[in-house]
Amino acid sequence: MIVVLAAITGASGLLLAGVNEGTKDQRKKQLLEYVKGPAVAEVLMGSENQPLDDVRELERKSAKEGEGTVVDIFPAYKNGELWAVAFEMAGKGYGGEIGVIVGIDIAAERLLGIGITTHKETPGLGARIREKGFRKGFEGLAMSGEAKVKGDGGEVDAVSGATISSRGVCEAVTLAFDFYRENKEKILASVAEQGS
Amino acid sequence: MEGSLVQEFKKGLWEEIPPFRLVLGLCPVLAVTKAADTGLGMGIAATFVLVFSNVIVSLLRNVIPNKVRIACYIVVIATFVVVTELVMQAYTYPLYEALGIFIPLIVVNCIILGRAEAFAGKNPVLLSAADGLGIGLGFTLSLTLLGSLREVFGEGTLFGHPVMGASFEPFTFMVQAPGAFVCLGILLGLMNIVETIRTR
Repeated sequence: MIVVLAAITGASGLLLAGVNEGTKDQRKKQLLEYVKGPAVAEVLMGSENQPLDDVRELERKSAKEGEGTVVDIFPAYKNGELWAVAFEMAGKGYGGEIGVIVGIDIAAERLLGIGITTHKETPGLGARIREKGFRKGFEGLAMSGEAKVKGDGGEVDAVSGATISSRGVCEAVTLAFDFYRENKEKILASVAEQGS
Repeated sequence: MEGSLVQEFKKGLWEEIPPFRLVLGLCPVLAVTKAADTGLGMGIAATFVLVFSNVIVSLLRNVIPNKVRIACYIVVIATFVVVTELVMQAYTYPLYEALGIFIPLIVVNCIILGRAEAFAGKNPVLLSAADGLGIGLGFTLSLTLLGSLREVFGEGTLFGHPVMGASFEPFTFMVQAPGAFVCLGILLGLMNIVETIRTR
């Protein structure tokens, strides 16, 4: 009985691992097209290039978590010059990780805006972090500080009834600030030239 | 043998067509038939899982100990559901988004476990495959029909194309939850009438 159960679960494990591996790239592509794409486009509105096509990969080294993972950097150009970059960071929400696309104005060192990509927050409550009203609170935040909700002494209005989700987004944004400050030269060097 | 193959296949299309004759798996039926395309997508996903789980369960029917058969069936079904989920995520992302939680929920869809328990666990591979395909196609047909009806009356479109003309005022009730129950009930009633006339 145990042998049969073990064999069946083992075989299905192998099959799933295979399928997971086989569809990985394609799934990443779809995620980029349908989820990250619109978020990046919104955050980097007004750029002359297609940030999705000019994506660069940068290894994440000095951050506290996620060492060795690759971050996709989406550059935006205006009048042929680098104007802004966007990339994705994740924070812990109520129902798991919240993926946040962060757009940064390079000259002003301020946040252009954020977009929510993947999340598992409660529909109608935590999921309201996707709404424009909440995301607007992040626009123009200075890169020097941290993103915090008002209850924690920051400037961002939390979604009422969804403090944990709001904090998760703040965490992701703060992580993005840290990442940008620590890797500024590398990021800028990787996207200095338009086109790939 | 050949006759019974066709018979097993055909019974899924009328005699035991889910969810009308085999009133099982109503949760996805009610939830995803807001439009014809989501109904069709859900039907195809369920058919895929049903056929493969039926084949595997049938292949293993003499190996699986009776005491843990349900656990084994669930593992087999869950495996194919995750495969479906990954493939949909990779190739038909908008559909995957539209179906959402109902794809993983195929695991506990009574139709699939019901076929494994009632049919595939006792019959040879080919027959089980025919049974799975028949029931699956029946399920797909029903979901598409239900989805089409609700979409046509609720949105005035069919597979996203307008069909009712500009003056048509959408009957939004149909795309909401009560519309699903009403539609399903009416279709069930119609089928019962047809069945009574046929057998008289």
